[in-house]
Amino acid sequence: MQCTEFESYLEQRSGEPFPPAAAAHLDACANCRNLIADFDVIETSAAALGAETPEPPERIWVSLRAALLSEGLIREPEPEHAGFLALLTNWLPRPALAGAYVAILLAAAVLIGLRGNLGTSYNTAGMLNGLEIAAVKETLRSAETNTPSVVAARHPDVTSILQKDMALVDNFIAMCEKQVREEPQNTLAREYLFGAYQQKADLLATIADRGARGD
Amino acid sequence: MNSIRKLASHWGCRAAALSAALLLPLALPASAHRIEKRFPVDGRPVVIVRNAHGRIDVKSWKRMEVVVVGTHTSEKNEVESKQIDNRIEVNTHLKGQNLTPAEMEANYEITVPEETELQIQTGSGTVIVERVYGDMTFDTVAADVQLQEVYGFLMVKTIGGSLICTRCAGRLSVTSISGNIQLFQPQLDFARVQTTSGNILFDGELRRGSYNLKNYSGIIEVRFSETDSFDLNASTVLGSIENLATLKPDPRGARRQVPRASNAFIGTFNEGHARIELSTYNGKIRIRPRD
Repeated sequence: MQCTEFESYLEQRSGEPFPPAAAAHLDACANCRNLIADFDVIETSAAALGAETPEPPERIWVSLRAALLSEGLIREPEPEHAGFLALLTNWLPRPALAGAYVAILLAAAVLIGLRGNLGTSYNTAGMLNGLEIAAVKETLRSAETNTPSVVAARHPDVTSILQKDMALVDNFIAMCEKQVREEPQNTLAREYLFGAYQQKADLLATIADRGARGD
Repeated sequence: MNSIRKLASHWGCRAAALSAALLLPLALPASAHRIEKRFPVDGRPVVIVRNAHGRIDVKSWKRMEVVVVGTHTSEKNEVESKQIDNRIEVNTHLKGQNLTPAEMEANYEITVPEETELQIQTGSGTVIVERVYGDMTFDTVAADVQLQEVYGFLMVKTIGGSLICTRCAGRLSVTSISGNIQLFQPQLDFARVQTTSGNILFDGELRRGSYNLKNYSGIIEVRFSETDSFDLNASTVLGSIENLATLKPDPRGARRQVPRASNAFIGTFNEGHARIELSTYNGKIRIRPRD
């Protein structure tokens, strides 16, 4: 089993023990063990989330950041070799960028936590209740506030796509929320709402991640 | 798997001829910079490419050697490539801020052994991969991805780029926000395709494999032939479903899970060997016979 296959399996796993192939890979691969450890940290912090979105302790950020750096998933930007999305973040002080990462990670954590609790099929994702939806929405709003504007991206195609697609996802979130309010029993609509939140978190993470990597 | 290997062999012959053409000197503007590097490898190499804007062409040949040809016209970027064991890393470094699109552009022609793993990340432009067998990941913002006759675990993540996948085999995972996705003659075991507002087209034999195609708006079109064999589950919240396949209840008597408060078509066509799930929020699903 390759790391990509293991990650794909991990996405679909819902708490059952690892099958032999995955367990063997996990034994042999330090990177995937670190990935599991990262998820544990994220799930732990997600479980601590209440109705409000508290600031995570500094140690969580330090731990996450160290893990991501060691995984090669993020790296310090090289000033002399700034990347095509570097302008997204260059104007931001590092603490703000760190805040964006944590917020996005916590948004992802909320989603992962909900998915872990509810499974991944539409009928279970559709069981998200109003409080959970409000918590996810608030976390995403906070993440967006802390994520740099896409306006400064270098290539006009990139700028245009990021702006257009962020608006698109926001529009679908609004549409799905309206549908869920009108038809609370519509499980497919709830599944789509859940998916739209995930897309928003992914999009914010992409903007912050690419900017921080300096490419 | 044997059929894949036969295909690989057949494609390999054609790949060799194409690769020879690839090595011919490129016609470049007088001001262009051209860098060519060769890396001997053994086993299955991993090629990692990171670019901001431009075209990336990856093709295969029979030699155990990776050849990277990078071109750029601007002095404000530079092309770098290096080898660490069997890993080849290719990077475009941008020098300075506030660069124009032309100053960011770098184009690559990369020739790899047939069995190669690829990791390609780019902002905009085009990525084309032909006849490469190995796991691949593509991460783009606006760049379009074209895969032809590739085999492996194929993972494509793009914001606004499109994907055209022709005779792809193995497993495929695609996520996009506004990109269109087209699968022609796929020979996949598993495919999960999601785009928010883009269209999805599936045009190929439906006799094996499991396909999950989903969007929020736009069109999902599946073309089938009378000899195909599939289980279908198509559902929508506010959209429409046009189904021209004559479905019958599952011959195995399996009960299907239908989401509440949604429109759905569920049933089996012929023996139901392939499995296809289609879902749209307010778009259109079309299941039509192939012309």
